[in-house]
Amino acid sequence: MLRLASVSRVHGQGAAEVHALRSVDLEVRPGEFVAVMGPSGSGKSTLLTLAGGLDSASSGQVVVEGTELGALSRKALAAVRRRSIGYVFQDFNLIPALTAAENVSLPRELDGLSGRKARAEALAALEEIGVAELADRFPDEMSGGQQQRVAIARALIGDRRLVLADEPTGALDSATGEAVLAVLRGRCDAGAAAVMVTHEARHAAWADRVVFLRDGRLVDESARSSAETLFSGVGPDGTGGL
Amino acid sequence: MKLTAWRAALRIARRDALRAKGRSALVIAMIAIPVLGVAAADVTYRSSELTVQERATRTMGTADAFVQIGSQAGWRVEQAPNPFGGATYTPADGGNSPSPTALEKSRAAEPLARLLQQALPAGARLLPLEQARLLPTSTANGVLPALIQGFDLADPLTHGMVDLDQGRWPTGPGQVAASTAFLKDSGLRIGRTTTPAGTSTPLTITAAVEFPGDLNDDQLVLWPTDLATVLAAQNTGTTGPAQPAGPPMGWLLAMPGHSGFSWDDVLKANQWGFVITSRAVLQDPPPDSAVPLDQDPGYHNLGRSSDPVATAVLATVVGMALLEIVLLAGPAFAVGARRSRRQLGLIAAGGGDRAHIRAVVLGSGVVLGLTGAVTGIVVGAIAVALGRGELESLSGARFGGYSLRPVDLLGIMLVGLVTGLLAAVVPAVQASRQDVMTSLTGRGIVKAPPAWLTVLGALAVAGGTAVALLGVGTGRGSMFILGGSILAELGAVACTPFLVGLFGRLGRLLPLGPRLALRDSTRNRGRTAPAVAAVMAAVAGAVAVSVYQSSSDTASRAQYQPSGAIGSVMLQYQSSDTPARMAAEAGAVQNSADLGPRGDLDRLYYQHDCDAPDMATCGTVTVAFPAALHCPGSANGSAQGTPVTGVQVLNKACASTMLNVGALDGENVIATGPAALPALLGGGLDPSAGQALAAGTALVTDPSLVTDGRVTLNLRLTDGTGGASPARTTTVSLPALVVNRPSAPVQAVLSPAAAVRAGLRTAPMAAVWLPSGASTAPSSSAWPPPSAGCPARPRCRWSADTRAPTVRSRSAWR
Ligand SMILES: Nc1ncnc2c1ncn2[C@@H]1O[C@H](COP(=O)(O)OP(=O)(O)O)[C@@H](O)[C@H]1O
Ligand SMILES: [Mg+2]
Repeated sequence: MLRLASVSRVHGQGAAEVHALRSVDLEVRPGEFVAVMGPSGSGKSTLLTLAGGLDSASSGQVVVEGTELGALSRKALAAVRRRSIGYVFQDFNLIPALTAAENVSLPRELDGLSGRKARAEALAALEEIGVAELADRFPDEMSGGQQQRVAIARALIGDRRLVLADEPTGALDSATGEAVLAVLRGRCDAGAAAVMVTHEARHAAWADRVVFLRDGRLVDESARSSAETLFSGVGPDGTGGL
Repeated sequence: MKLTAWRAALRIARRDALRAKGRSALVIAMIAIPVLGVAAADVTYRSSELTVQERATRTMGTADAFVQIGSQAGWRVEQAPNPFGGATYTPADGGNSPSPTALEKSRAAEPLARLLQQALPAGARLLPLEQARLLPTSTANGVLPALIQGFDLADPLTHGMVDLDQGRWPTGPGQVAASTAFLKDSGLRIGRTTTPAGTSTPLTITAAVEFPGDLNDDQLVLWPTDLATVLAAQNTGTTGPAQPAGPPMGWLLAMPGHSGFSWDDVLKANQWGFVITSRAVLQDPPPDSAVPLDQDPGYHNLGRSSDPVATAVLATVVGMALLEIVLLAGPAFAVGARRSRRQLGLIAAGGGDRAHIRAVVLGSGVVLGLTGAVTGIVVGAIAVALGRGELESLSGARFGGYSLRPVDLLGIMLVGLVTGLLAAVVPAVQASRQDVMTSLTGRGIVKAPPAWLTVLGALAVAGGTAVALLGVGTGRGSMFILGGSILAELGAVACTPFLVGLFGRLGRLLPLGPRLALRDSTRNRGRTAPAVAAVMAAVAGAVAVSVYQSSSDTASRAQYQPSGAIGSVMLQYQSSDTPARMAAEAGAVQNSADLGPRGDLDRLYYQHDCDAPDMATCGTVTVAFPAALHCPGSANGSAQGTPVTGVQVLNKACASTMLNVGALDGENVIATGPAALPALLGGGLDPSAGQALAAGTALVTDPSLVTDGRVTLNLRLTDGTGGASPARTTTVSLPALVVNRPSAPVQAVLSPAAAVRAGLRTAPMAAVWLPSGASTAPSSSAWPPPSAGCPARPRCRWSADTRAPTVRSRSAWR
């Protein structure tokens, strides 16, 4: 589904050079829910943008559903984002001028699907997430949790099977956050793959696997079962237990 | 890009426009206002345009045709099926040298009635419309010149030419219909009377009427026999025997049973010299092959010209206005694109490629452009509908109907739409090139403008200016002027980021508020540049216009010649007036107010009177310029007929060579006695001047015209066509006294006796008075015109003719 092979990303030049990622290897299989943890500035967001084709790696390979992103034209890359990858940011995920259904159907419409079909798909996606009643509301008429759930619906519309979520619960209270995570978990159980950046160990516990980043390096990987034991005494930024 | 993607982009643009109401309203207004103006102009123009039938009704009422004499009754003419545009041609008259055939000459000698009888189909009824005359007629307060016509308004043939507003049609002699404009200007009402000049029978106004094509003209429609009386009275008042009234202006023609006047009938009437406007032909024009005029090479060689300068100015103004809107609206879109940067980033993250991002920003151009255009058109159309009455009286003609032309309005709407689209193009491209991550995180870098952009801009400014000047130089390059101006302005746009950057360095010197504003402008050069360039172009345009305005103002002042002293009163005679009539007129003026003693001005001529009716040769008298005072750029000192340049206007040596109409009928030297001097040259003259004049010395108002105490007069005989015969040019020299009056109406004054002694002849020209209450300041700057019709109004502007200067009357200000 997603494979990163010795991926590095360097920002800036000379004295201002920052190694955001250093030779990272990661593989995510269909149905897998991976949590990414690490201190602030460790390269978590960079990892996600590279995986999502929003930024290009300085070296190494990013492969999404068998396609090497680095070899693609800008247009083809946009098409991959449209068809294979869904993004969920911390907040302000939705276009304020569009209703929930329109937000969800936008990637499909940009892809050339007729308005009616795109809307039908969007309604189905909202239905799956359990927020069908939000279809005709504008973002500013929704709560933060509702917005995030709509964003997840958008991330999974059509044939999209890969969700990249950068602190999707960061702006939510914990109960709402749990509900959003339950949705993600459900989608992964239904066959999608998800990579989620989070600070909170409790949230990481929803994942099948947790990876740790420090100074742009992947320092550890742990399976879900071990993660649960590992996080029994960690600090809020997930570093204490290491 | 797929259509559904466009639809999605337009949806976002539309909702965004609704969300950012203030910014949208700004852009919509910028587009709607010019569109409103153009749409209103179009609707007005189209509504005022008449169908041929409507025009026919205004010209010929219910008649089948309107018959007019071509250039000469009996001379064959060729005409267009629709002669409204003046498309007629007389082959015999072709090159301004008449060469009628023998047949045409003999026909021209026949009486008009016989010609008409032969030219027109049997059984046609003719109703003559007599020549209209502009004649003074009495009003509630005095007299008013009115256009006087004569025909039977009750005749069904005239229905539609004149609309009855109030009252009832005149039914016999002694009754008159007056236009509503005349009633307003004269202060008269229905039931009151008016007496045309020269007659003694008052005519009773029975009707207030409206000429749908001439709402603002003072017009009277007399009973035909009354008009004949009026014209006869006019003709006996002048010198010589009474002249016949001349042929009528035309005839309304009714065919038996209104069967229509065919094109063949028109061609036949053309043979006899009549031009026919036929309702049937207008309705159903003949093919071009049946129109001799279209085949005649002589007519086509006359050529029809349009004014290239006007076209160039119009094209430049319209083109630049569009560019200004684009440049001013552009920043609004740029701001919009920046504000919604995160949204555009989200679209990109969700799989939008550059084309999609461009589509969203362009979509806002489409939405706002379309809304602005539609708003402008709707408001413009409504404004014309509401202001119809005002517009009609302003243009002086009733509309044919309220007419909206879909094709025109669609075109105007497209222009508005394209304007919006163009304004959004640059912001759209900028937004689409924005890096996705930069858009999402809001990280932005201020880049210095690339050097090539500034260099390219500077080159474009220089090149565009050169191209525009080339267009001005050749005088027929509207596309050059427009293209050059646009190129130069776009060049300025390209240079502006650099210039703004330069200014940004000054920020340190400024207090906090301006410093912030300046920094903000320099940080966002992309949207500052077009706005700065737009303001720059507007200022440049305003400066150009005001420089032109003040230059022509200066030229007008330099060219201004008063006709007399401030406060003086002048009565100018018609050259055809009899001495008795002149005396009567002068007496009437003298008695009308306390004007003081009268002075008489005589014009001078040499052997042959230039104002005689049969002017075969004409002897002009002018003041000779000393050789040292030569008008530059004029061969042999005569610049007449050649274009006048600014240098010439300001050079007094050129003044005498230029067409010099206005002050005292263009006479440079006149004859008069000492009594008229104050009224002519202003008070404060040395009494010795009057004595010298009486003693035979010429008074000269410009010292440079006097050499060794003498002034020279050029006496020149010209033949009737205006050419001079050099062999008959001579000069006379007279003793001269300088009276320094630089802006006097004449250059020299002689006494009548001295003029005769010098071999000249005199004829009465005018009477002048200087009322004792009037200011006796020298006639240095300006004076109110004697009868310009606005002395009571403060700050009245007047103009004796189109070439005369327009000057505010100073005495009227006080
Ligand atoms: N566009 C950029 N230009 C320069 N440095 C960047 C840029 N994006 C990220 N960085 C740097 O890369 C490092 C990793 O950043 P990021 O991936 O956002 O960390 P995290 O999401 O783990 O907090 C940080 O030091 C950050 O300052
Ligand atoms: Mg981050």
